[in-house]
Amino acid sequence: MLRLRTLPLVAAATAALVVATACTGQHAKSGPVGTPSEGGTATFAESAGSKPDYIFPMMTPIHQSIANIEQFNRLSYRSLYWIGKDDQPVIDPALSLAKDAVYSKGDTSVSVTLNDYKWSDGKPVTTRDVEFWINLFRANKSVAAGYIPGEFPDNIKKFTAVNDKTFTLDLTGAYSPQWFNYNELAQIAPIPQHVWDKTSATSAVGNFDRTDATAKQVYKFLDSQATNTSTYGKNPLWQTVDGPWILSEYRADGYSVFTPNKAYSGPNKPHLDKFIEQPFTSESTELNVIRSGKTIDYGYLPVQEVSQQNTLKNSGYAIAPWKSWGTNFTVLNFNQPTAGPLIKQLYIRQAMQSLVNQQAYVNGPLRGTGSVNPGPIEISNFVTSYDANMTLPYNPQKATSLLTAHGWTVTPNGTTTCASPGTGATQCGAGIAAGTKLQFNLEYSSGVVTLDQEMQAMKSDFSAAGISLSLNQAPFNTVLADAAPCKPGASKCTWQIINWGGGWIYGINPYPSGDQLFQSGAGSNYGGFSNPKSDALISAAVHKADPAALPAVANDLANQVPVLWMPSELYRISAISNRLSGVNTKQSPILSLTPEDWQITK
Amino acid sequence: MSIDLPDVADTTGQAAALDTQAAVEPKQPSMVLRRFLENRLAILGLLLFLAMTVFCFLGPLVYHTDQIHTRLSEQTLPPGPGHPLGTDQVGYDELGRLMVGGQTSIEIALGAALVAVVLGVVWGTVAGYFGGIIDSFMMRIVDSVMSIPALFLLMFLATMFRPSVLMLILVLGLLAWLAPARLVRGETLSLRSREYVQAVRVMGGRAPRIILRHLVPNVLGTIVVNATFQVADAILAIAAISFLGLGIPPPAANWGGMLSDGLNYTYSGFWWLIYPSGIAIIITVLSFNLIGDGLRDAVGLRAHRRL
Repeated sequence: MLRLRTLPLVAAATAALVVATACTGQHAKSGPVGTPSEGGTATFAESAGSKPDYIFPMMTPIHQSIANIEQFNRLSYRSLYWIGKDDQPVIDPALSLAKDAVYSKGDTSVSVTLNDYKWSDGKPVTTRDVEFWINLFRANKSVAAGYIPGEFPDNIKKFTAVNDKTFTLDLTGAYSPQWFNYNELAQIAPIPQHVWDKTSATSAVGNFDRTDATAKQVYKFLDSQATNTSTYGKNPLWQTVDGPWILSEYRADGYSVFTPNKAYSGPNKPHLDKFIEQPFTSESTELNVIRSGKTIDYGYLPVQEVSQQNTLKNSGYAIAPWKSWGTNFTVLNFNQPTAGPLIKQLYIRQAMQSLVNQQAYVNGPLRGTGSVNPGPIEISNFVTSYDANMTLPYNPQKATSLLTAHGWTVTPNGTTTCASPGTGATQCGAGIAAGTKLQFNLEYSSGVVTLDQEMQAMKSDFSAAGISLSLNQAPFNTVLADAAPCKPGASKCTWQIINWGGGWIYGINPYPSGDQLFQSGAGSNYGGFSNPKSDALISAAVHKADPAALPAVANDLANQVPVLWMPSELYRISAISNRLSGVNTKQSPILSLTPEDWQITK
Repeated sequence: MSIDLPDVADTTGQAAALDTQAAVEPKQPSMVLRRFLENRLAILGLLLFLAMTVFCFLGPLVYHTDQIHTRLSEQTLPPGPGHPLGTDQVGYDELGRLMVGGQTSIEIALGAALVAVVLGVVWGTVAGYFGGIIDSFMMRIVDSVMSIPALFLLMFLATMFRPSVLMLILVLGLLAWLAPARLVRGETLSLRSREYVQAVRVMGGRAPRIILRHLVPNVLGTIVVNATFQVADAILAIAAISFLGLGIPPPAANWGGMLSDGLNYTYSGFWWLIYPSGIAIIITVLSFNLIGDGLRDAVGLRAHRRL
């Protein structure tokens, strides 16, 4: 039973409408010209400043990006359930490695049967490959981005391989099948145990994953191979895949060439000879390349140049807005020694949120292609509205009042300082000394024009309450690496506020229960937010299929401000060449690619 | 042939007299100035530089704009009443921003040129004066650093350290001192064998005195000419790293960063985001090049007449 297939659809339709308006009502009006053929090369433009650099499908937080997961890993390694059918974040059974999961014993046991997939070396994908992934994850959960204390694999009491195709998971308690399918099973990507289960390049393949100590060695070996990007394309490890594509060439700048997996056993066999991912350092460079000729088949039109869509259409491109399923935010570091004591104060976070003028960002930098985002879940059938008493719209007066009421001397256009230290209701709060300045460093990704403008505007708006932001730009991968979660009290923790651009795509956890991002100790809880009440609400959403659970989480987190909520924005305005057929202009909400469907027309 | 050496007390007095003579004789500033003023292009350069300086540093006193707070509701407005050069991508008045950006660009360029020239002169004169192993060692260091692409080093340092005016002055200066060091060293090699230098040495003048009182004043022409080109180069370098997104973070502005931001709107026709800052860079760099050419001619003519 796969209950998720009946999930209410999300707000993609609403967003598409917003975008269509911004794009003068045109939605992929032009289309492929000519007859689809076999062979040829298609080139996809990577996002500016963002590049893939990790091929092993078990991510640490610093490698967890769209460029690595959805647009790199998934081409070669498929998960049990494929999320995204047209532009909806639902499971697509046709592209999934497994049949519908069957729940029993009061939702405390789940049985999964694999479809008939094969590795590229001809060996079948079996339950042993699933077990291999689970064992590696279990032994190395402390470094895994997807780990959440109490959830997978802590909540797996027993893995049983019924046979090569069917396995059973006995759970430690009852779980919402919707949540479990989307956020646990869909994360599992079987990996080739018969090739990868070794502790060094020269060791023989064994069952090392079955004990924690040796499973750590296997992970260490695979991670070391994955971080050695110079070997991509020739390392035999990465030549064994179950997806339709094999990475055959990789350059340090992120330029990647994929060739078809000739033994691909899935439904859609690749038609192209090559699929190329092309890196760009800036959006304007990408646009220049698109305008200069036909070297990019699937690129994008930067939002700030949205007025150029007709030019691109006349050049043979279809324009299609690409909306993601996620939430946008700026991360606050609760564990940074200097900024942490400030950020831990709820009233300071709420004051900061009250200074984020989302509507101005939508009207300005985003040129009307976004929408105000009050919390962790977009307005959708999951959450139809937010409680107005819980959200924090732009209100500089409220920000000033909150600070003044807690013992701060607010200095507009200067730097606000703490005048009344202490832990009383009208004092600054724990760990904040008299004279402490309300100032933060904010690091953000370079190369994205809209983000740069938003951050400049945020700095400007924050100055109204005397909150000083010191801006600093760095390439996307650097920002992502810098954003590594810090442990409380860690001395080597420098970042205070970070925005890598785009926030979070609910790609590996499409059910937006917030557990991966905001639950205490979660692997992707970058800022280290921790709140018992929020944990309890998240837990309720995870364990019960209760329609009221997600709105409760959304309202709580909107008010708690674990991150600064930023406006929802398009992932891209895609520009798709007319020589490319088979591209679904209802693009994946989790931003994955299926170039195996594409064909060059002649 | 024998030389009668004076006694030590006399030596000091004569060396001092030679100091005065050597320091005064080669400068002849009035002749250099006259020749410089006869050069119409040099005067044009000087006027352009003065105009840009007045525009950038005195302009904000007359034309008041808020260059701290963004106004997204006024982004990319075309030139018109209230905004003679329009507004930029976050709503800053473009004319006011051009002034503020110019201040940063000129300050960094002058500062970097000063650092480069001072370091280059010290390094070059010491290497040239002592010669031998010291010269070889010091100049191999120069060669080694020169072999590293400057832009690469600039980008590396800009990512390692948070960009600020002082940081950029130091980084650009520390990358630009190599050329003046080589030039000065070459001149020093020639000057150190001149009679007046030999005489000071014979009369007990020590190396620091010879370098500071006899060699440096005589390479001043070369230094000044080179400094003007250093300023021009620094303005372009700031533009380059700002273009790559490694300049001083907002709300600070500089012409290179403004140009880079404007280029994001190339196809939208927002010319006022591109041309003003581009033209300002061209005018300022051109002015320093014209001044440098004029000074070079003036100093060169003086040397010719002396011969």
